[in-house]
Amino acid sequence: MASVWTRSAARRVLAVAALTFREARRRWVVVAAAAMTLGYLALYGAGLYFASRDIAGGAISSMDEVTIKMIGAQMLSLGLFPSSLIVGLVAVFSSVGSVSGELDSSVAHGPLTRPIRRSEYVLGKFVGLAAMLTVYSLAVMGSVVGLAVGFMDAPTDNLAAAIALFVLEPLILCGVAVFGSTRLPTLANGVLCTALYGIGFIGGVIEQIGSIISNQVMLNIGIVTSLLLPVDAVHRKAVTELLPSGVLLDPSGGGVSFGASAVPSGWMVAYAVAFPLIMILLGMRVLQKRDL
Amino acid sequence: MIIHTEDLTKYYGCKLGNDRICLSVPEGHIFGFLGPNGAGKSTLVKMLVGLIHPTSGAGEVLGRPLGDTSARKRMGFLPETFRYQGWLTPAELLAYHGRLLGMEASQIGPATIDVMTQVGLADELRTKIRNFSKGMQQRLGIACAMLSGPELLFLDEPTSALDPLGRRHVRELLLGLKAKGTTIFLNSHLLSEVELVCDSVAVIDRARIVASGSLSELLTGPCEVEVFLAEPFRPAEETLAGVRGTLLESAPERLVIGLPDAEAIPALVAALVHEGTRILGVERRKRNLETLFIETVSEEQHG
Repeated sequence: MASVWTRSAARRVLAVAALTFREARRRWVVVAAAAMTLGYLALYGAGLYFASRDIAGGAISSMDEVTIKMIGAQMLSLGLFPSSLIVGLVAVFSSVGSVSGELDSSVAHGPLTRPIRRSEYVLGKFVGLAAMLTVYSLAVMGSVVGLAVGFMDAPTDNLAAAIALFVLEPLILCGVAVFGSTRLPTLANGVLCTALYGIGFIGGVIEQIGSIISNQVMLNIGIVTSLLLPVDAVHRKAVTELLPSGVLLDPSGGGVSFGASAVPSGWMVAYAVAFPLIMILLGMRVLQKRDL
Repeated sequence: MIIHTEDLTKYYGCKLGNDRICLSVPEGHIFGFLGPNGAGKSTLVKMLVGLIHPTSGAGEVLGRPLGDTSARKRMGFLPETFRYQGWLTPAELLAYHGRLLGMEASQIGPATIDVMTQVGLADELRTKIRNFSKGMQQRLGIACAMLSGPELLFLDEPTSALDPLGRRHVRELLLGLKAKGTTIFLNSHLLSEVELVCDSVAVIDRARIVASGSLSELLTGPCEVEVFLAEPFRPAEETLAGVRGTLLESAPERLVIGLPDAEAIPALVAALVHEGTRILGVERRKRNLETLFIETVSEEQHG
């Protein structure tokens, strides 16, 4: 592997990544998602504004400071799940055709007859998309946290770790989608990745309910789905890191941890960090072997 | 040999794409690769440039085994289905390819201007590719393939989208590249174009090479002479036998006679005149690439 990582290999990866980053910004899915995200943030900000105005104006006079903090935390947790969902869908739909789209249209035939290894090409695709998704998810999650803290003085605990985990969510989905696109047609890959995302989410909910009612089978289902796609597990871990324990009024906010037993372990987090890299390694291998 | 293959075979599942292809292309040649649709031309080109893996057999390009990425620094490829990111400009596209080729930033700019000038698109450097016609995109593809001044160029149907002027331009471009020592592997349906520029050719049909060699060798076929007569006439058998000729076609005022070689033409004319016919003209029939192609492919299909 050492010889692979020469300076020239890094230059080739960066060339593909830079072009992929530029192209990803131009994709309609990203443009549309950016517009919808702005609308969503405006709506979320408006809700926070009116809530904070009533609290500050004494309209809800009976509330003590702890209750106000709890409302702030609840508003923050409520804002995180849809944000994560939007970012996740953007990750899937911007990545599902990353390789297959260029192969189907023959755009890839030019670059892939240059002195670039197919593994470098796949890595470049992932790095470019990951860079775009990192910027996008940082902007979305940063805005949600910023709005909740700014308007409601929502309490936050380990902000840096939480943001890092939020950013990891789209990278996991991007890794799966890039891997899929090295073998599957774009549409089939899109359906598969979205279904996998849904399965991961449902598995997470089953795990949380299993945690409440102490049902080991349900907990195991959640673990298995987390191994298939650890996005929901990472989201729960991120929320747990972000919000101080004991500040949530009601755990009904989607994706919010229901209890300590449903919080993913350190091993699961380590697996989630390795997951996109494993996917990309598999994608490199698949593309290397296939005929183009 | 700049390209050499031995028994190169490709199966797509059960379907045979290329069957034991043995090919040698000398350095500095323009090599024409011909064949009907679906014969396996693109399969071979794709194996040579490393896009698909052979099922069996072996080959070398530029002294390196097939699929070796280091050889690709010294070659260029224009795919048959040339498609580029429409949102890029040619300058951006060529800069991208230059970086993949490992060219320094200081080299890419001048090389871009040079190749774009050669294909007649120097004024379009900053135009979005999506605004290009198909012919312009094809010329851009040729520029892209030429970017690093490669020793070997693979051009898959390089003039399919060009008008006659564009074809002539590309033909001159290829001859210019050949003069500089570039080897060109030309995959084309346009037999007249191939005949004008190629030194050697190979014909593939139903996955197998059915003819190959230098163009002059392949086009030197049996000597056939067309004789135009003043009045209807049919030569006597002994007249033809005297020059070892065979009557191939006979129209009232036209004969086509096969001879062992061109040396027998004066004797044939003398014998016919001696027999009493008046000859208005004699023309040696020239075998062209189209004739060779049709003969070779139809022989295969019927034989």
